[in-house]
Parts: sequence; C-alpha cells; structure tokens
Amino acid sequence: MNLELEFEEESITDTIKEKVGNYILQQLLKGEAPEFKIIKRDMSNVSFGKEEGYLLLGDKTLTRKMRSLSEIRGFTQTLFVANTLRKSILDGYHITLRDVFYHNLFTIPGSKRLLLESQEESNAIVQDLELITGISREKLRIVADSKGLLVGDIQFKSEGDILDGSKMGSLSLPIPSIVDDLEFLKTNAEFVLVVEKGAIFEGLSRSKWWKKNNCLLVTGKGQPDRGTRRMVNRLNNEFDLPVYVLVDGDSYGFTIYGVYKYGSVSLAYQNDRLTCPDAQFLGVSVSDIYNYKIPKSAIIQANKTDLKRAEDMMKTKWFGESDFWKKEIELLLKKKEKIELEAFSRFGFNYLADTYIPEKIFQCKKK
Amino acid sequence: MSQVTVLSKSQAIIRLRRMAGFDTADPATPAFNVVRELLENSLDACEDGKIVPTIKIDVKDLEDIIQITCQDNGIGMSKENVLKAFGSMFSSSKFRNRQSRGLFGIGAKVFIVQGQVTTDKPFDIVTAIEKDKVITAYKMRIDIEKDVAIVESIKTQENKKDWHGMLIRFHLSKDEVNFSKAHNQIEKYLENCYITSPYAQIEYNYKDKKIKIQRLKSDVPNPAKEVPYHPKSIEAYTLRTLLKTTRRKDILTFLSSLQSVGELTARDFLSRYKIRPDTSPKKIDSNQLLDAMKDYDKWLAPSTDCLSLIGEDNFTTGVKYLYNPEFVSYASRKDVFIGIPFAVETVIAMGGEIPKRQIRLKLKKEEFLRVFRYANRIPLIGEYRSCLINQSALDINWASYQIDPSKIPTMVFVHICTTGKTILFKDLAKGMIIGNLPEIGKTIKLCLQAALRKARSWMSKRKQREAAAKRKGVYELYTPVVIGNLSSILDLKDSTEIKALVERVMK
Repeated sequence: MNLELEFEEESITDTIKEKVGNYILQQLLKGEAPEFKIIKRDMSNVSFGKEEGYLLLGDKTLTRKMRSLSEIRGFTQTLFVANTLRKSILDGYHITLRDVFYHNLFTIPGSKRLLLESQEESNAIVQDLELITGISREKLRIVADSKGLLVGDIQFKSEGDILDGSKMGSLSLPIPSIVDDLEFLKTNAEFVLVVEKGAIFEGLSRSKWWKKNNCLLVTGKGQPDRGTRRMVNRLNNEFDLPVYVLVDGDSYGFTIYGVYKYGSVSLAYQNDRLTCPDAQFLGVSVSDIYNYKIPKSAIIQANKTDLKRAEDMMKTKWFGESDFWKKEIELLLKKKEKIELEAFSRFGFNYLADTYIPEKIFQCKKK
Repeated sequence: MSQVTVLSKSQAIIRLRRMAGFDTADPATPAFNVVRELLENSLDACEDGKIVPTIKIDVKDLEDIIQITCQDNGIGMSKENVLKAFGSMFSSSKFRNRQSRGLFGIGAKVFIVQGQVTTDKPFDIVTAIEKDKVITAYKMRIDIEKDVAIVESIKTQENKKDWHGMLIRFHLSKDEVNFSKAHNQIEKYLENCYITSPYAQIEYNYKDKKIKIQRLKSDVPNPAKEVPYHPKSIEAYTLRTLLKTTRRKDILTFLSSLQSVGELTARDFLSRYKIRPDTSPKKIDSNQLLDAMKDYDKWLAPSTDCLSLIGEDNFTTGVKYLYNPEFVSYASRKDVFIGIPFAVETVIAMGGEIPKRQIRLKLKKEEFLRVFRYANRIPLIGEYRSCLINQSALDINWASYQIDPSKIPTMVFVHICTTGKTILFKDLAKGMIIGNLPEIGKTIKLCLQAALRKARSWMSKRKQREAAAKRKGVYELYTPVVIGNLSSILDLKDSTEIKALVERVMK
C-alpha cells in the first residue's frame, strides 16, 4: 500500500470525512449496522516481498462492528479519534501521539470508563486510521516522541534554516518525528553507519569517527522509531549511500537490524517508506564471537527469551531462507551464547572503532 | 419375657435420658429437644384429624423449676388412651406401620418422667376428643417401677365450645435445662415449620422471648394412612407379636392380611417352604417364618400410598415466604427399598432475596449450595457432611444444569418420608439420614435432577435475558458518542437525523 504524500490540508480533512464519516453514513442509509473494515496488522497478514526486499502487508481485513458487544468500543474509538484529529487539522495544530491520547481522555457518559484507557490503545487507533484513510500519521500531523540521533557531514533545510550535521560541536542532530518536512541539501559522506546503541554512537561521535571515516552516524537507541527509519530510508534513496548496521551479537540485535532492513509487522503498510532493503549487516555475528576469540568472561549465556526470539526468526522467510542467517541462528541455538558490542573493549578501548568496524566494512565491500 | 423387658426398660431409660440430651455438658440441648418433641407430637395429633394446627408452647421460670405447657387443637385422647399412653413409658400410638414425625412417641415422655424424678411434681393432662361433652383434666404420675399410671385426680368441666385437643403441663429442674441458650436453635427450628407445615400456627413464649409462626395457608394434607406390614420389611419383634395376637385361624389367611399379599402368592410361598396352609399362626416358629419371608422373591412391591408428602403447593409456599426467591422448582419421586416404601421430594430455590453466601475460606462451587434436609417433616440438624441428602446433592454436576451456586444463591430443600423410620435416623436426636444407603441416595439424586431440569431451562432463559440487558446497556453507553462524533465528522450541526439512522439499525 502506497500512502499518498501530497495531501493538502483541505484534502486531508475531506478524506477523513469521506472515508470515515461518509463511509459509515452510507451503511446507515442502507439500514445496515455500520462497521469499519481495517487491514489486519499482524503476522497472519504479512508476507516477504522478494522483489521489494521488505515486508508487505496483505489484504486480509478485520471488521469493527458497531452492533457487537466486543467491538462497539473499538468502533466508537475509531470514530472518536478520527473526529478529534480532523478538528485539530482544521484548527491548524500539530499534535503529538501523546496529545492524541490526552486530547481524547474522555469518560463515556453514564459510566466511569475512559473511551481510551492507554497510550497503546490510542496509538493502535491512529495506525488503524492511517490504513482507513490512506494518509500517513506524518501527514495527519501527528508528531511522535523521537529519540534518534544523527551526526556527520550533511546539510538539511528546515523551515528556511540550514542545519549542518558536521557542525554540532560535541552534540548530534536529533532526528525529528516527521522527517518528510526536511529538505536534504547535500552530503560528502560515503556511507551510513547505523548503530543500535546510544552509548556506542556517543563514543564514535565524540571521537569524530565519522570525520575520519567520512560517513554519517545514526542511532535509533534500540528499537528505532519511525523518524529514524524514515531518515535511513531517505539517506539511502536520495544520496544513494550504502548503509551498514551494527548491533549487539544477540537475537534482539538481529531483530533490530531486520527492522531497519525489512521493516516491522505492525507498520508493514509503511515499509516502502521506512525500510532500507540495501542495508548490510556489519555485526556482531554469532560466528564473530568465536572468530574474534572473545574472552569467556565477556560472553553472556543466552536466556529463554533470546532463544525463543531466535527460533521465531528462523520461521520468517526473510531470515529463515537466508543461508547466512540460517547458519548464524543455528550456531546461536547450539552454543546458547551472546555478546554485547562493548565486549570488544577487552581488546582495548579503540578496538571496536579502529579494528572491528573497518574490518567488517572492508569485508562487506568485498562481497 | 417380662423379666427381659423390665431389665431392658431401666437400661432403656438411661439411654433415652442421654439421647434426650440430658447428661451432656450443655443444658441447651435438652431444652431444644423438649420443645421439638412436644411440637412434633402436637403436629402429628392435628394432622391425624386433618385439623389446621394451632399450637402454643409456654415455658415459664418458677422459683427453682421450669414449667412447660404445650397446648394443641389436635384430635385429643380418650380416657382409656390417656391412661395407656401416659401410664407406661413404652406404650405408644406410634408403634404402627405408618409415617409419622415421632419415631416411637416416647420422646416427650422421657422429659415428663425426668421432670417427675427431679422436681417430684405430678404432670397435668387436659384433653377432649371430638364431640366430647366434657373436658377432662388429669393430674398424674408414672410409676416407673411398675410402669403404670398413678392418677392423683380427675376433674371435668363442660365442653362449651366443642374444644378438642390436648394440653400437657410438666416441670423440669432449672439445673438441667437452659431455654435462653437454646433460643436461637428453637427459633431456627420453628421457622422450618413454614416449610414443612405452612398450615400451622405456632406460638412459643419464654419470658420476653416470643416466637410466632404465622399460618400461611389453611389446607392440611391428608393424614398418612396406616398400612399392613409388608412381608419383606417386617421386623422380628413385630412378626412375633402379630403371630401371637392375630385372630386369624390359619397361616394362609394370616399371610393374606399382610400388605400386597394375595391368596395365590400366599399359597405359592407356603408350598415353597413346605408349610401347611391350615397351620395355626400361634404354632408357627416366627424366626423360621421370617427367614422364609426374607428369602422368598415373588412378593409384590409394597404400596407407596401410605406416604404423606408435603406436596408442591405447601413445600414451595414456605420456601417462598421465608426467602422470596426468584425461582423455585419442585419434584417428587417414590420408591421402595428392601420392602420399605419411601418418597423423596425436593424444592430448588434460586436468586431473588436469598442471601449471598459469605466467602470466608476458599469454597468449592458446590459448597455455596445450601442444603436443607427434612425427614418425615422434621428438619434435620447437624452432621451435615456425613448426611446422605447432603452427599447426594453434592454428587450432582451442577454445572451441567448451567447453575453456578457461587454466582446465583441456590438453596436445596430435600424431604424424605417413609414408614420405615428406623432406616432414616441414626438415633433419637434425629440429626441425619444415615449415609450408607446407596439406593436411597440414587433416588434422591434422580429427584433432584428432575427439579434441576426445570431449573436449567429457567436458567438458560434468564441468561438470555441477562445477555440482552447487558447488550442493551453497552449499546446505550456508546451510541450517543457515536452519534455525536459521526455528526461532527460530517459537519452536521444537528444530529437528529444521524440519531434516527443509528437507532434504527441498533434496535
């Protein structure tokens, strides 16, 4: 599903009116109890697009009926959030995901129950509305908390100001929630290094590693948000920069690499904008633990969650059908061991930056 | 024979004293038992004459003794019967083959004798039978040694108002009974009369503590019929007595006088056990005859006509009056067990004003059930766990009848009646139905299941109603929010039209 980006404000509010209000009205006029049809956002409706290189959402739908004891709440929530979003756009506000929740703190008259009881409930409704209206959250002007950071030789334009990623002193550029508002001007960098962890990013940033290696450094601090993913997607598309991903040597790290490269299940409808199928896995691989002879004391026992996650990865097409990942995951399941990026500091504090990363990039380039 | 009887008499009196609740550390027990015995006798005396019972029991503190007076409007007693009944410890109108509350009719007399021994006071009987011209008042004692009545005085007065009934007044020592402590137990017991005999009016007075049981209806059920003994269930002692006292000249006609025995059956029986039909009953060895009768397998089943059920109308009236449930269901069932006819009837009451059970410990679902037990119209108290009725009720899978007693307060009332009183009770305290009678347990279960089938169909309708009400409630909660927001998205200032559309499809 391709989300139309060029909506004008008026057409956005009209689309909500059409696809939510009028859609329900038509059913009512036919004398039918109304319902929303929403594309399912779970594993059962996701497939791997070999050609596209990322996860694709299928066309299975779920209904949210008004005339159902268990669904009327969700039905009402959808209508309610659609209405308040439309009003805020008409009023010209940018609101945050948190605002959507707080703005909709509404006690159902005649009961003590809130219509939306948690941020999760409200976030899920926003995702539903993206699918119902075909308008992305960014265009609906919903801002999310952002946590991604970027540093390196790149210039952006934002509301008339020029931002320079190489002139941040000891700081880095925060990646905004709505990356689409940024105009990408130019870069001299040769590649992008995405680092899973904020602390590793911080170390590389402070030592100006990006300058020495002429690259851009990005981190999503763990599971990346939509802004960070969109940033990596645009850097790759618009500047044609190769992307390398550096994560911990465990199944959680591998999943994060998967999210950058193939996308996530719950946001599969956005994967054309959020993924980077060209991204390459830098490390740490399971076999690196043994190739680099990591000392025993730096190796951690994999716990049940790690192993379960690894088994689940094997079942997916995008990992399970890759020879490299099959070997890696089998090794993980056999050895039941994992390491964090910090383990390389056993060989000296600069080992990761000066030896491991360059070596791995060199290997990637050879392929 | 007479010597054996005398010996057993003095032993029996000691045993009876203990069963009456004397000799226990708790003086509340005999106080409760005396009220119970008097009341049961009075109720039996009224029902025997199909009379609407009005019963009054007064307990008065005199200086160091307690005076107990019980008056009823039952059938009363003739002079002959008064002397017989109150002269001997062991004479009883209840040594007959019929259903009655009292086991042997000697319960109340144990208290009278005990009172006579401890207070040295005579007891009073005032009685008249139907159409008696006079009311007769006796002042009497029982000569315990000789087992005869000593009448101290007899007075008569004109029976102007055609009264019939009986008044008994006697005394007990204050050391042995405590009516204050027994009061709660007495009250609970009397309340049960609403269920077993809703046609009775009962008054109980002790100092300022008064209990009054209102009459809920005025039709008394037909009295239980007396029936001849059945050859399969007759006891050795009874058979011996019958053989000795019968006026029948030969064994053939004697046998034919027993229940469900015709001449053909009698002849077949006699030829199988090689007894000449013309043998005199007095010459028959009663033990050999008894063995043959137990052995013979072609007796017809005894009749269950002699049983007097509480009946659907009476049984449910009391339950409804006491608990005002949302639903009651009744079922009854008759059966025969080793030649003894018995009947089970049950009322299942649910919902309404039945109080919810307090949860103290972690109870099983079935433990939320409250089982009320009656035998020959007597409420059973105590020994709940080992009682057959309780076990049978817990044996049923209530969930399969869609009933969860922890969710809907549920009461189960079970009444068993039979002529075979000895199969019912463990002892004279009438605490429970003895537990090891699987055949009776099976009948109780079948009867409960019949009532439960009615309850199940009510339950499922109730659940449907509840679900509909819940649906309506939930819909009503969200519908206005839907109408408001839909109107707003469509930029409608007036939501009347949307409201009409939505309400049409949500009906």
